[in-house]
Amino acid sequence: MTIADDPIVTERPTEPPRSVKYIVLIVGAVLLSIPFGILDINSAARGAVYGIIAYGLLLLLGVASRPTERSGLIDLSALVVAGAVGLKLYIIPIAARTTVITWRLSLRASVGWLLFGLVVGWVVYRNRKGTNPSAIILIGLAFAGAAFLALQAGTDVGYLESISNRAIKRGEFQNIEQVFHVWVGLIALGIGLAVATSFALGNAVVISLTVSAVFTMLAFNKIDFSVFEMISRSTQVSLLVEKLWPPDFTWSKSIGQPETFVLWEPFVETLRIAVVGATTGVILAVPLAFSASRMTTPNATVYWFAKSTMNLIRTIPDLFWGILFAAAVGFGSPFPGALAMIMFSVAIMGKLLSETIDAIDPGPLEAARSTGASHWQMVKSAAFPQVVPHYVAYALYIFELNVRASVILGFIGAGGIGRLLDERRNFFQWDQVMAIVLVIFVTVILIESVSIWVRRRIV
Amino acid sequence: MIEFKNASVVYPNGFKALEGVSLTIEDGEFVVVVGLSGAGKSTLLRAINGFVPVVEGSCNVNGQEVVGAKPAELRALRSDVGMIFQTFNLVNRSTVMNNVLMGRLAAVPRWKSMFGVWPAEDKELALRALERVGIVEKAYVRATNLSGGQQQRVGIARALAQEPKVILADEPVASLDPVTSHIVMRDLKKINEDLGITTLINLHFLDLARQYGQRLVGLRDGKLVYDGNINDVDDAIFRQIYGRAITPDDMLQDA
Repeated sequence: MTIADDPIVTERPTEPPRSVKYIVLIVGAVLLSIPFGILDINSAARGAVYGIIAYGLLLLLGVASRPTERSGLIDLSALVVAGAVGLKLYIIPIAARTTVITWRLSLRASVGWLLFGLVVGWVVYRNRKGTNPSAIILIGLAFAGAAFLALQAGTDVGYLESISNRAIKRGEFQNIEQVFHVWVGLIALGIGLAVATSFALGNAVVISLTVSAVFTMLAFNKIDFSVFEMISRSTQVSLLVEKLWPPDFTWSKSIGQPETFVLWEPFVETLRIAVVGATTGVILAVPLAFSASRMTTPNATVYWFAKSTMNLIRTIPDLFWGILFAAAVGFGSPFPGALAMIMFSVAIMGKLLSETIDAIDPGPLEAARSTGASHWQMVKSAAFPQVVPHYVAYALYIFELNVRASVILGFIGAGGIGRLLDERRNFFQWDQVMAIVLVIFVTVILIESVSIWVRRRIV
Repeated sequence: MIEFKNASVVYPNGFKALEGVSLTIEDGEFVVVVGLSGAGKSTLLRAINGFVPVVEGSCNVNGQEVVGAKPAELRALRSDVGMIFQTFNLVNRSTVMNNVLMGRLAAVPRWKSMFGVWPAEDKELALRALERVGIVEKAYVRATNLSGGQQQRVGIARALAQEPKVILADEPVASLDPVTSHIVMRDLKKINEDLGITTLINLHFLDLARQYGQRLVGLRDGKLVYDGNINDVDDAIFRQIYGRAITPDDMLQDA
């Protein structure tokens, strides 16, 4: 006898309608199909071929690093590929323009920081089951070495030079080298003192705060951040503000044409790019995220595959994706922009969602497994419901980000309102630039408030 | 029939959780497993559905050997073995119905379950399972809105929906108050009597074991130290299982 033979004694409750679910699905499908129909798909073929070749190379690298299960090597291999692409397309032309000496110096600095990263990574890896004091000393030593190399290499020469020149003018030093040595000495001393104090206190929080403070200081230094410069240049800024106001919303498309509101078309194009990018990316990220979480991955190979794919996509910035796709499928059309936004969305959603999945309650997964469910049945019935509200919230947030990010895509010839913005800026039509900025501002605020409202209702 | 033959379980960290256990449980038996925490009670239950691997000896469930079973064989075996957990392990955000339907996953076509399209007979089976534990009116309520006792009964319904031959209950009342503990134990006992489902329950309250159990299995440090009728168990045998005298903490009523 089983429960199937039980008599019905209680009245059955009525099942609530599922229409809401279907409406959401249909609306999603329609939203997805409209922009796809408008965007040019034909030129995708060439881009796809390039993508496959690039990915094949990555796979080869990944297979070579397969023996270890840690994702460190995977990250490294993704980094190497992305780095190689970046090197060829970005760094080398710049290096060709600058002197060989600067090139060598910054290389030495990078090697210093890379060594530091490797030592820290190795120490953390070796000590993942509890720390020992010598590990911390090793990190400290590596840090000091890297800092020295970087400073010596003078990646921040520009900033130091400007201050040093003033000191020389005041007659405090005879030449630049002298000042430079003092600077290096002072900074090294400061770092040494800070690190030594934190280690003496022996508190993990203090140590990490100190180290990150030092890094932040160095970063400020290296981006030539200067409060004095900001104040001394403020007159130029106020001049710019005068030119920006009042905004000019209507102008003629070309000479001889009547003045009209010309923002509408590129504006809609930007929104289309954002919709395509967010919807497609957010959907593509789902299987990737579930495969890239230890909680729900079917096996080590899939985990590695998903993780390395995600890392590769994330390593390459969205603008760079735009450049790559524009080169592959042609400048000027919104298609490369949409492709870049898909990558951008997959990267963010993959990361956010897989980390959310890492933190779900494993109990229901065990329960599903105990019923004899298959792996993906378990994921669907026990893991997915736990992350749905987060997923929806992330998707809306990613749409917001997409609208903002797709604006800038026009700057690199990947379509949308950004192209117009760039063009007007090049003509020094600041009042028209202001009009575009205002339109973007209002749109972003509107979309943001709607998405906050929806998110609050769902979560 | 569940048959352990000289079965040992060693965890990856080298801990020997079960050592040379030989035990035969006939169909329809109601067995209570007692022992201190860490004695191997959970391991014994989880060896039956292959959640922990038996490294030595054998474990045979309804004619299927667990040791060395292929993934598909293991899934088939698990679909016949329902499990009930101390922490209920419900998907809190899902409805009670969807939680119970989880018990039908192995029986329905995969694509249907992936899209949440459940055959009418499976839905009816889930409702019957809920009827068994008396909370059918809560079918479309979210699991998180139920009390602890009701949640555990959803857990039982989920196991029942599998139409299992065996039910494994791992400390099913440890997170419940005395009154609901008795309700859940009565439900489990009644299911065992009505449907003849072989039931293994881990308990740490001795009075509950005495009140509802027939056969008592005692574990100590991963070894089987007692196996017999619960009515024959006296203080000396408890001391043998627990390694100490009985304290009020071992009783539900006084705890």
